[in-house]
Amino acid sequence: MVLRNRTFRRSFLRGAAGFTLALPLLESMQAKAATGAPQRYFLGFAGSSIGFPGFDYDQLVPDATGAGYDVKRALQPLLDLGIRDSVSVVTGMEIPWGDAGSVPAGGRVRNWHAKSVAPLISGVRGADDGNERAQGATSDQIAADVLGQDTVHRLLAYRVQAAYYRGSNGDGGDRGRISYRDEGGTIVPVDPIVSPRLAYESLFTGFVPPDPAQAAEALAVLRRRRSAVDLVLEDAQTLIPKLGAADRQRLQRHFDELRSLEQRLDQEAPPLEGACELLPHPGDDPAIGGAVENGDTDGYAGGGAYSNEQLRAEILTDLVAMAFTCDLTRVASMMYTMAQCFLNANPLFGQPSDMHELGHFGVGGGQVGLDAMSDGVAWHVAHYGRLVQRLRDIPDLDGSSVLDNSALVLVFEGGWGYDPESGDALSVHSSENMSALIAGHAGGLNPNGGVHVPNPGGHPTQVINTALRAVGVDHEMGEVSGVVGSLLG
Amino acid sequence: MRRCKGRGGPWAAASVALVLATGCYTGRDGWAGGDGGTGDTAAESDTDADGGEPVDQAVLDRVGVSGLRRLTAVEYAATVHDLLGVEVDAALLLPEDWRQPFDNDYTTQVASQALIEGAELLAADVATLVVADEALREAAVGCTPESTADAACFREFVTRFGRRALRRPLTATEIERYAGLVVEAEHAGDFHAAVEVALRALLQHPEFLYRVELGTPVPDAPGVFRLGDHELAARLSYFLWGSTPSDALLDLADAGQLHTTEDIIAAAESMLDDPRARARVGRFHALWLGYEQLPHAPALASAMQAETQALIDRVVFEDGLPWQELLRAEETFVDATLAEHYGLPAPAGASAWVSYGESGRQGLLSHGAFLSAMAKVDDSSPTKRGILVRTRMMCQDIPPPPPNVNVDDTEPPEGTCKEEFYRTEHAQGNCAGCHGLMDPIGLGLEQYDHRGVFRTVENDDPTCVISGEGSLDGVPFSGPAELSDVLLDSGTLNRCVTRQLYRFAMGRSELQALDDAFVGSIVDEMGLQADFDLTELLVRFVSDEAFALRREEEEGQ
Repeated sequence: MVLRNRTFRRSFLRGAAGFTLALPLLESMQAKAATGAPQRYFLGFAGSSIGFPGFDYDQLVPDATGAGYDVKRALQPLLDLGIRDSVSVVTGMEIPWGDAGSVPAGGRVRNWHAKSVAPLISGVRGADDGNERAQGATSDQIAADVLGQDTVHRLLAYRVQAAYYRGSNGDGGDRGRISYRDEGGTIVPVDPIVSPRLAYESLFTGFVPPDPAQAAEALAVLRRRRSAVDLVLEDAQTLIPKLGAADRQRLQRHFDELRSLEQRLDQEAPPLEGACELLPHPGDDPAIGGAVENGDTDGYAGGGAYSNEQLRAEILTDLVAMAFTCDLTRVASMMYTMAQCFLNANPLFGQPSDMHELGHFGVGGGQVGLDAMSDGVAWHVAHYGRLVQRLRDIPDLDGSSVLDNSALVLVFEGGWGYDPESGDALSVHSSENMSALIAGHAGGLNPNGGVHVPNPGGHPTQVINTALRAVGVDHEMGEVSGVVGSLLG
Repeated sequence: MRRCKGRGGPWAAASVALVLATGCYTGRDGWAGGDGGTGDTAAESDTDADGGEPVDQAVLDRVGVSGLRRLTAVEYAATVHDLLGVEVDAALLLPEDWRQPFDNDYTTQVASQALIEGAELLAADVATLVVADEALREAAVGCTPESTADAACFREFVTRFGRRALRRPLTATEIERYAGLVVEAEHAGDFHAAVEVALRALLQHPEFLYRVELGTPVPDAPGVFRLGDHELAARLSYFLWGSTPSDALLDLADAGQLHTTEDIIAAAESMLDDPRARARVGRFHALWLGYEQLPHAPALASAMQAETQALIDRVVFEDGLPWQELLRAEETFVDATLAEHYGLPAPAGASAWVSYGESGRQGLLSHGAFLSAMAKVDDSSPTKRGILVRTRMMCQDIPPPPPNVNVDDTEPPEGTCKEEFYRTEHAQGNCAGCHGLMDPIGLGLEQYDHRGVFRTVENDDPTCVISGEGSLDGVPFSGPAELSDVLLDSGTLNRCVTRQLYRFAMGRSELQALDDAFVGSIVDEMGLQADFDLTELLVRFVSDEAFALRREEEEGQ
């Protein structure tokens, strides 16, 4: 959908049931279908490793390779959701490491926590000084540069985990972001939308309810929003030249985002055709939970370190699915959990600990510990899997399914194996034995359906490269080259 | 597992002396003039751009850089409360504020779609709440419309509320533009539809969301500007209240009565009498010492926070005692639950002051709020407590652990008492450099667990007796009372708390030489070990000529 001149105001109204108040439509889904269904890219991130201390295996990697792979505990949701045949599992990969000054290409600095995230999401080696910020643009931003030019939203950047839940809370710092864009050589972090309510309001701007009275009210609100934003834009534009260089840069960024909002407010909502529908309002956001310290089982049992992430994940997943369906965007990134995730596992799968501590004997060692850790991995897989399932079941413009025109990746913060920090051979603080999931059939992706593909010695960012290539984005991430060739048709 | 002694490295040769000097190890680790506003013209400006007042070089040498600061979620909520009387949970919708340890470091703020749309939705929420409530609406509008599109009343409203929201009078041009929104009233057949749009716009305005400072160029001082009176009013109010200037403060700025040192002193003293100052000073301490959130059950956490706030209120605001009394107090304010938690006598009534008696406790360092901060794995961490004291109370840097140390794995081996582990394992080889700076401080507090409960043996092993003996820079102490005295005598506390206040005031945690010069000038006056009255320090702080100046940043982050 092309951005329209702001003087071009809404000329029609359409309700959730497809009730047409005025015509004509300017760009119907059918018209888009004539040029082929759009390609969609999704990146999910789980702030978790996948193994357990002392174990030389995990419960994610199947024993068998190829199609019909066996499903262990961490991937059980793929079977439960009936989507194993749509999801490939790429295993045996690693992010190389080195000390400051000798970090290899695409590598991380020795010194574990969250240092794997920057190279994983950008393909560029992490910073020497220990900061955890990505040093290159991330795949959602790169994909949006190609795929996001004609949609209402260039991309959606969401995060499920509402707060850090440790220390003074609130502040996950760089551990709470997986989206970075390149502004003329400067890598700028992009805050995700965390509030489901905000995500909903943002996505369904311009959609009009079917009830005539509600429709009139919705249009009145839209008019007020536009009037307010128009005024503010003019004020900001007047202000910018008066500022010093640094402040000018800051406010220009603000202005640019405000301009984008104005353009979104001026666009027509897409027609509610086919599977594109106005979802019900999610209501008020769940309150943000407080911090809990390691080992405080009472705190976990009492519901600390939790802001109903279960519900938040469901809502945000539904929004991504509908955004893809309605072609409101073609790119989304979802940080399910922050790096070094301190989210309370108790409300999610009944373990009175946080996800991070599960990997450190939070509920015990041995098989009990491995199972609990695998359940944490599975929680992420379930939400990712639910998105895959939704997209599989939604018909696309060309009669195929939305999943047929999508590439969806799920990456994990760590694997298991050697930890150069501690010297332990079987640690969760390791970027060896990393795995990733990749689903969808865009560009012939997954020609044999869901398969297990070992990619020994490969870099997990190659899975991202593979997905980008599948959706037609000719780009390899940072310093990581190569794709998982057998997954491309 | 590899602990610190295990591997040689470039830091292996670092001596303690070197550590103190260089770290523990050598591994890497006007408005084109004035206050006129965005629609300003030279004719409308209340300050003459050409004739700025000269500033002494000594003052210029302590003017640090400052930049555009977005309201934090807490400041946002306080501001709309003070402007319109509504309560919002801004943290649900705004990007999270990083704690450095203060939540207002503008160098961490980057505008994003999440910010723009969060701010738009917040503005909508506030506008909707106000318009839907007759009392709030009348208070906001300030006049009674005599018709659906009463242009005069609407103009009066935007003039009045615009000044309060943007913290300066609107220019004639701006008033015209905002008054034009009255067409929304005509369109909707409802005067308050226009009010809603104006509220939405003003609450998204960059000069509402950000604290914009332009000022007037200082002659012969490139990049240095003198703040306009309204800009200074906002600096004062956000530092001392964490909220927007009151009408009275704006009136002073309007009247040019916030310009001289005497004016500013009078205004600041008056502001410190307001309850908002108590909350703000409390928030400074909570962010500084890390008890803004406590990892305990809500009732215990809030009782601890209330205990510390009560002490701050009493010392700083009620009894006018030296700030240092926070570390010397012999009584504490507890409810029955907290008294029992500490093993102190029950208070008379729901909450009351209780004497510490011979308990060995004294002042804020005995509070659960302080002793709970930076705990680890269901127990206190002597190392992390040492870091807290060194970095937050003494403003010293401690480098992160070398890369081959697993910081998640610091449990003593089975059969080894925790204190023995810290005194032996951490005192060897490469560990000693850094841990020698941290652990002895924490070990002196070890008889107080991670919830502030007194103990003489370890929680999970009664055979392990805790000596409670520690030291700070070679001076032995035992317990929070003696640590307080050592810190007060050390000569580092006064400088450090002033530095922390400066960070909080300027919204920037990385300080440079110009910033240190400002801090130093104040510390030189008050003396390194002298007692001081915090309200006097705050007044001294904001009435320094440098506080009314700003230095422009050359480039952004």
